[in-house]
Amino acid sequence: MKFNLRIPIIVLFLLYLFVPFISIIFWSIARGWRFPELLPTSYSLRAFEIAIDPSGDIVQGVITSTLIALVVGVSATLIGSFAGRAIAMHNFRLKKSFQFLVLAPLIVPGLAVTMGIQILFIRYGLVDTVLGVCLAHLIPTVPYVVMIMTGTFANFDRAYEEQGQVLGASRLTVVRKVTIPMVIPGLSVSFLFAFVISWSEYILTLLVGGGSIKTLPLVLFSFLRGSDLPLVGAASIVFMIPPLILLRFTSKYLVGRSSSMTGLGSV
Amino acid sequence: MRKSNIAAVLTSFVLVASSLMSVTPSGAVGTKLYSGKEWKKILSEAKGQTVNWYMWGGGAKINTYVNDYLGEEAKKYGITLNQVKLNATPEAVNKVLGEKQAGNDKNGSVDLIWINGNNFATGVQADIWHCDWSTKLPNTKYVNWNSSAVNQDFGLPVNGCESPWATASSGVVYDSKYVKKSNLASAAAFTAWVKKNPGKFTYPAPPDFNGSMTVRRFFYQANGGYNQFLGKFDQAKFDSAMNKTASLLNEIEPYLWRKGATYPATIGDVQKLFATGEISAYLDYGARNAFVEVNNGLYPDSTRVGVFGDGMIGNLSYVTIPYNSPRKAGAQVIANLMLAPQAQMKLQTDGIVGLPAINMNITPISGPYRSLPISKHSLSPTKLAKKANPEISADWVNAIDSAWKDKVQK
Repeated sequence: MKFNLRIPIIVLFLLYLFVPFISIIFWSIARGWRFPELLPTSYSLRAFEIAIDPSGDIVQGVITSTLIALVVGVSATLIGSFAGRAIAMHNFRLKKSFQFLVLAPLIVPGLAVTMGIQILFIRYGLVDTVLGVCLAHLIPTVPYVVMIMTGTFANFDRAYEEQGQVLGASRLTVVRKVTIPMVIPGLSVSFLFAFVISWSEYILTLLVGGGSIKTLPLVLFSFLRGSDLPLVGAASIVFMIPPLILLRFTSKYLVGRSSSMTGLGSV
Repeated sequence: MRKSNIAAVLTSFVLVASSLMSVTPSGAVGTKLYSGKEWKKILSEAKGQTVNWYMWGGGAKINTYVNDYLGEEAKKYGITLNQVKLNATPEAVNKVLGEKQAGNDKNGSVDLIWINGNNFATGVQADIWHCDWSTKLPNTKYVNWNSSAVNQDFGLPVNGCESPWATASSGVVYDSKYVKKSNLASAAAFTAWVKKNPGKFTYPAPPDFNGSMTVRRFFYQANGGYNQFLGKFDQAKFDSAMNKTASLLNEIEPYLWRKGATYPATIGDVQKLFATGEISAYLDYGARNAFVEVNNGLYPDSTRVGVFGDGMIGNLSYVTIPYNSPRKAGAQVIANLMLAPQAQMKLQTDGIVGLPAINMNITPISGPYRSLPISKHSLSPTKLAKKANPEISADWVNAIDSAWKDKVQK
């Protein structure tokens, strides 16, 4: 018997992805939602009013998280690009060990390392600071950027850069006009990954930030410990928006060269 | 280590707990106040002093109350109130202990500490508190020093070493659709209701502050009250009392939420279960604030707050003055200001630290106080404090919490 499994699998996958969102959305606008009601019987925007209060925890969390994620996104992309280029285009001594070391943070359990980082950061006065949190976030982000950029530079033909130099462009101009445009898909995806990982990082922020650097995940967790489920719903929705916006602008690079596939549905 | 952690949790909770009051209306004061002359001398000494008040600083509303209200009141007496924000009260106690060890007996940096329970006990043991002052403050005439809930702090005599600030007393939040007032006639009546309504009650696992309180309430229930536990910890007494408590709790366990196979980790989880209608009653130091959740629509309109006919558990938090503070006069004036009827009423209206620690009924503003609106989804402080059982010392509390793990949660 011939049976096409593709459709049911896709449907299951979509359900798996979207069903949790449905309950979050309902919770965020419910006034209350009690057993045995199938759907909330009354609705209110109270949770969102709290969420957009400029001096409230959520807005403050968004500001802190955005600042940190931007700094981490840019720094990780920079650091990782240099490493990626070196690995992809150059041969040097101990290259294999270098590659292993770069990827090590992905292999070693994060929680174990975090404890050590905390002690080290206390010694250098980096705990409870935004700088410390940014530095800590580089640890899980840089390896991804290195992987992406190694792949990008593996297909990179140095001849284009040489051509530019031959035509009289300065080094900086070559980087600006030749190199960056050629690797921009890799850079964009790297930034997206680094941003999203930093954006949703919890344990590192908690331990290094000592609870005084309140990023959005920390705010979300503190709401989860309380009893206000609509507020948790609203915070979760706010939490999802920036990565989605970023995804909107980088999705074309995630699905290949076709710029016609920019819709979110295709990701 | 563990003890001081729990003490920190205890203290900081009391700080946050937006709760209640335990002064019974008697008004009798057994101690002599400062004479007019003595108090005048203290006032003139206090003028120009900067009082460093070390306190948990995590509550925005509390900080506003301290700086904007008490700070302004203190200015009228020429005193500058400097709030030093702590993550936990033991930091202040350790600071004074450190100063004592270093031989700094005269010029300490801490003038006032917000405190109760184990942190206070630690200081009593080390003899670092200035004593014999709190019962003499002019406004202490509103304090019911005769009540064991006031003159003992978690079972330890206060001895004039600390002055009351705010009260936390627990209550039962329940859904009147499923729980009748008669079901709260006593702790025993309530356990009978629990057995008749499987799955509709639970409590957070100790050492959650409220879970610990719930277990303690049943500890009193299983042993005919709290009196025998007010003294020092006694292992033999504890073993037999804990066995009785465990058998009571194990008896109701099959009738708890999810048949007691698991206990919620925090009071927040329990409140969520109430909000979603899974359970119909829970015990909470912050029970009085249930009306906020009703107004937000999270809790049903049928939400009510009640107390067991034979009382709930309540405690007071205090301020104390270290022995080496060079500004004891200023600190005492502040402690006195905190007990002023207006300042105490503001505790309740601003819903921040707890409820009044004084007997509002014998103050000049008892009329306005009594006419403060009380939501039907809340309970008046007087009713909440009715027959409130006192706390027992931290040794008992810790022993009960850890025995609960072995004998009930398993």
